[in-house]
Amino acid sequence: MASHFEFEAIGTHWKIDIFDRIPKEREHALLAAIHARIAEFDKAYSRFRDDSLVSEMARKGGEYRLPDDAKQMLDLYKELYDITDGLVTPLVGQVLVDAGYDAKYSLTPKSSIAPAKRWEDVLEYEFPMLRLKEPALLDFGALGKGYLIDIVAGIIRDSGVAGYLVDAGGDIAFRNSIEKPMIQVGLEDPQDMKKIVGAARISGESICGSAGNRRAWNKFHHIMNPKTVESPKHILGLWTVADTTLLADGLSTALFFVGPEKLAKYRFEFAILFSDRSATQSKGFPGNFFV
Amino acid sequence: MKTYGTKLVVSVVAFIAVVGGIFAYIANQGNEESSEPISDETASSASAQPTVDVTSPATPVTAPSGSSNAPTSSVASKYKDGTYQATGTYESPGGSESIGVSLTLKSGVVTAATVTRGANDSWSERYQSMFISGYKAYVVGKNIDTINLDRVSGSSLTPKGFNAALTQIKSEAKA
Repeated sequence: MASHFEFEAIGTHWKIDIFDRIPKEREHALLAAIHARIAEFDKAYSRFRDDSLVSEMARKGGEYRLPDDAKQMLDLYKELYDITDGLVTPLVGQVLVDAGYDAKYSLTPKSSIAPAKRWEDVLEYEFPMLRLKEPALLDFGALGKGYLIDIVAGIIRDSGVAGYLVDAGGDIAFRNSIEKPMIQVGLEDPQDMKKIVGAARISGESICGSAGNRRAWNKFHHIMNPKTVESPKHILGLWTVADTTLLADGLSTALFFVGPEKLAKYRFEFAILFSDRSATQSKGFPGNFFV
Repeated sequence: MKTYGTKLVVSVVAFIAVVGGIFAYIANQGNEESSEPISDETASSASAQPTVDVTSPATPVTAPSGSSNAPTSSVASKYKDGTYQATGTYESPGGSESIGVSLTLKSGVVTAATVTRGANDSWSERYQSMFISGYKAYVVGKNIDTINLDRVSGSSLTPKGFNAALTQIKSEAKA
């Protein structure tokens, strides 16, 4: 029998499928390893807990030696920061908190919210070192979850499993196998969660979706323009497909701020639903919208 | 067959005019977000701007039962119900390009339209893509249970506590 796990972690619902038949003991060991790894990640990068590395950075500037797993994430952040002219940035953390998206979910915006500070004014990054010229609240929400999905998928793969699906709140890493050659993924209608606006067929890569309908409060949603201090409204939702969930997740945030042509150096596919419900998609997007 | 050929040529010319007109329209708009009026006009009326006097439609590929095989072309505003297809060719600075158009007519109104891309040149492809995305009707939702899905991807579920906090704030605001 294939295995199926569901649990809550990092503020989202995880659904993991193992399509290989594995014995119960191996299943338990695998699940324990996954939980331990997620806890480790959360301890480092969550801004929602006081004892995390990120919270320490928010209290105290200075030189920090980053965990090994920070490299891929920070490297992509820096690239996207440069490409989007500073709109994808971990420094959006303070903006989100000021807007009310804080550890206590106060969801009450301050009367005036300052734009995010510039990377070059606050951060000096050269892996494995990160120097903060002043205390700064970093938020890895743009791609942290996607990266953690890859890490979890890696644990599963390293355990000898061939086919699996890791789904954390609709962001998905899928490895196909004889048991499950492909999956059909519905693209949730941001205006009606009982509906889908399209479907994609995924056969061995990752898909991420991003929309402003949930995690929305006041006039904001979870994606925030760090300069204008507004949540983008021109896009209802978008989906990206790439070889890694890290990349798919990061690009899904970036597409709220820049056109796909700016991201041409990456190998990925996309589908965008605009606020007037018109849509566009890349030539190779493995699915379609319903029109 | 000969008359069909003639009709097709006329239609192709008409379609090229439509295509050209809409290209120009898109170009004037200068940004993709303003695709709204294009879709509206083309979807709601067969005589949408730019005005094209299509005197005879192309060969219907599917026609409702009961209709005769050959489409009649009597009055300009009365088209037979059915799906019409045509391929238009045009000269671009990058060479000869083609674009396929398929329209479904019902009671003289375009109820569905698809455009197939045949561009050889990357710029043409770009413009045709813009045209296609601008031309297509709006996305509609389908009920989740009508399609066999393994997963749904969208916005992440809200974290526990978020919705509770939001509900509380809203009720406080009402009080």
